[in-house]
Amino acid sequence: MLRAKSKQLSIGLVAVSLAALSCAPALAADLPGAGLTVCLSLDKVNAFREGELKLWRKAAADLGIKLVEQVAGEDAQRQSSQVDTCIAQKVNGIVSIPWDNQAVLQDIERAHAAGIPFVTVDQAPADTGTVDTHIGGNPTADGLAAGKRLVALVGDKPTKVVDLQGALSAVNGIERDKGFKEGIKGHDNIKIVAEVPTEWHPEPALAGMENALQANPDLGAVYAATDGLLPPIFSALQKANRYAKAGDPNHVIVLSIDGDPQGCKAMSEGWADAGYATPIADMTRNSLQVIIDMVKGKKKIDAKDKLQLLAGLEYTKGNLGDTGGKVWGCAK
Amino acid sequence: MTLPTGPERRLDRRRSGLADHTNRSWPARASVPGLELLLTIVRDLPMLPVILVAMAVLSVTVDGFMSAGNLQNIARQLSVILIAVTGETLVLLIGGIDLSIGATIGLASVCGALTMQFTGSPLLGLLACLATGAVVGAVNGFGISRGGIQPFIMTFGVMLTVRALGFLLTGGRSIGRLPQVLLETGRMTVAGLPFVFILGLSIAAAGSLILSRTLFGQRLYLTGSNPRAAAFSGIKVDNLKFQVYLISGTLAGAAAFAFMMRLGAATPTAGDQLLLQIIGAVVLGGTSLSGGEGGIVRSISGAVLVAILIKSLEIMGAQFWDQMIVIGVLTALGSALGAWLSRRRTRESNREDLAQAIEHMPVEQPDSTARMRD
Repeated sequence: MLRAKSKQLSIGLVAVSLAALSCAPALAADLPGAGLTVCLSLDKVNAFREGELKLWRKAAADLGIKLVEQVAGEDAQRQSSQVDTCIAQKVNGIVSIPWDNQAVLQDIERAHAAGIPFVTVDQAPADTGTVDTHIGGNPTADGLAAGKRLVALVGDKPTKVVDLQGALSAVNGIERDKGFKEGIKGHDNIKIVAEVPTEWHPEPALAGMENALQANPDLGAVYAATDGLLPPIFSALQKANRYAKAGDPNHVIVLSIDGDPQGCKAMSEGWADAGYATPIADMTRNSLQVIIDMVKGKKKIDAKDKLQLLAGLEYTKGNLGDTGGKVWGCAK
Repeated sequence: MTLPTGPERRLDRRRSGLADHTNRSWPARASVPGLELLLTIVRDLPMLPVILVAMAVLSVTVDGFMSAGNLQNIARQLSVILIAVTGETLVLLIGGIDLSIGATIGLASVCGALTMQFTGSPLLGLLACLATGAVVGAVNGFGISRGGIQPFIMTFGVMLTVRALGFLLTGGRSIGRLPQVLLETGRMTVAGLPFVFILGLSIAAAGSLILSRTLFGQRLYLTGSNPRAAAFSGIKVDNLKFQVYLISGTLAGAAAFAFMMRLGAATPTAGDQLLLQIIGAVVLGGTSLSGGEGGIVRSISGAVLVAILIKSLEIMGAQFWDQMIVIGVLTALGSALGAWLSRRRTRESNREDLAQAIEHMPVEQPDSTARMRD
């Protein structure tokens, strides 16, 4: 009796498995991007790019797209050569985070000459009119919001600030800095005592912070163009005995952009005051969707849709309960 | 200019990687047809067989590796490096090092691009690139040859300063909108080969010829091998060092122009990733960091090997860090092979010198009474 039931169960399992197997290709073929190969050309590898890459892979799997990943290692020549490789491989579309916003214009031209759509993400090319679509955060708006938040936090209190800039050769670095300065404009009590061009790297940030704290032990705030600079900020504050949570009189206000896991952790533990989470889940998915629309839907992208700038989401310890689910770095 | 004879010539032919080895080294195996040629190639251009084997394997295993598009792509990527390694090889041959080469490429590209934006003339842009490179090279050369500053320290200091100047001039931004004719020339192909590659290869070939066929080249090897002996033999070592750094800087300027032709943009960070690629290619090719041994052809072979491996790994979908591991391990193994071959050559050379010395030693008749007199 038992043996017969076991046999029935086995047959049932085999049948279900076969049915699942036979359905799987049909489901994959039904996905909107089925059969498309997209070249993903990244400028570098870091924690933020890793976060983006994870979401790109997930979006590609959801849409049925095959991703060919290339990383340029902060080398414009290498990125250009990788784009050439993708063109030679006759991919259906190229999605790029360009390292050099001028050099990428040549890549876009060559891809278009080969009939391949080109979408840039996160870092805009020097001329966004050349690209099929650019999808990015809104670095000016994020910087502006951080500046305004600092004004709100300090009120009329005289405050010395360190401005840890990103790469000044990249639009995000330039605009996040510009936006922040715009945000604190007209508030003479807030004084930037050091501007550090970090190139997005932690070493110059650490050196800049240490120097600034040495010259200004009464430092009041730090603005970091990326969450990647939080570890050196905290390290320098610890060394100067200024590492204290928000609310403590010894606390130094920390504002940063990205919303990566480091930013989320610092916020939830109270070391940072406000962060601006770049909506990278939308950015990565939209970039692939544009390729699908162009290749499969034969859709011509309207001029108004060519530039998609998605402002970051402000998150603080106070609102993390509501916003945490939307901050990509807080995702488990 | 007359070709040297005597010790200078012999020294060069042993070390330059272009020597005629028909009358020495591994003589026991010379009777096997073709083997000697193979051994000579392995000894003088250790990376050439590796390149040939790699290309044979990759053409079978990597889809599209031998396609015209891929080969053109590799050639285009090599163009800037070929010019830069020529200068760096000259510097390493005299026992120096030029760490400022990448930063010079960045600054020269910025100066060239600004000149072209201002005047619209690619020719003036080229002159600005070369002049910028020459000035940086002259500063390096002056500090090292006249100031007695260690090449590593001097060029490191210049690297930081030059890089900062590039940022000051541009605010860190890239410069685009270069003359259309420059971009078109950069994309142009001649007989299937990218024009920028032909330009790079021509400069490297000219450098190699100067190194192997002129008195300047011979002096350079001698200075790198033994500066004191070079000075005793009448070579003005300080002048020579100044000239080599000047050439290296000027070639960095030329590399900057090739960079702009290739990418249509200039940036102060243009050479940031190039410095290690350049030194890696030179070392992998078998040029010694301690001077006096190596050659431009060897450096080219190192650069070619790195370029084809990186491209193949990219096509195969290897991750960026996997590519770095492969290149790192290869550089270490390649330089170990180079060092082993160099030691072997030195041993052979010493043996030869000893044999020649014995051969030319005056034969003295034994004086049987000497001991008795003592």
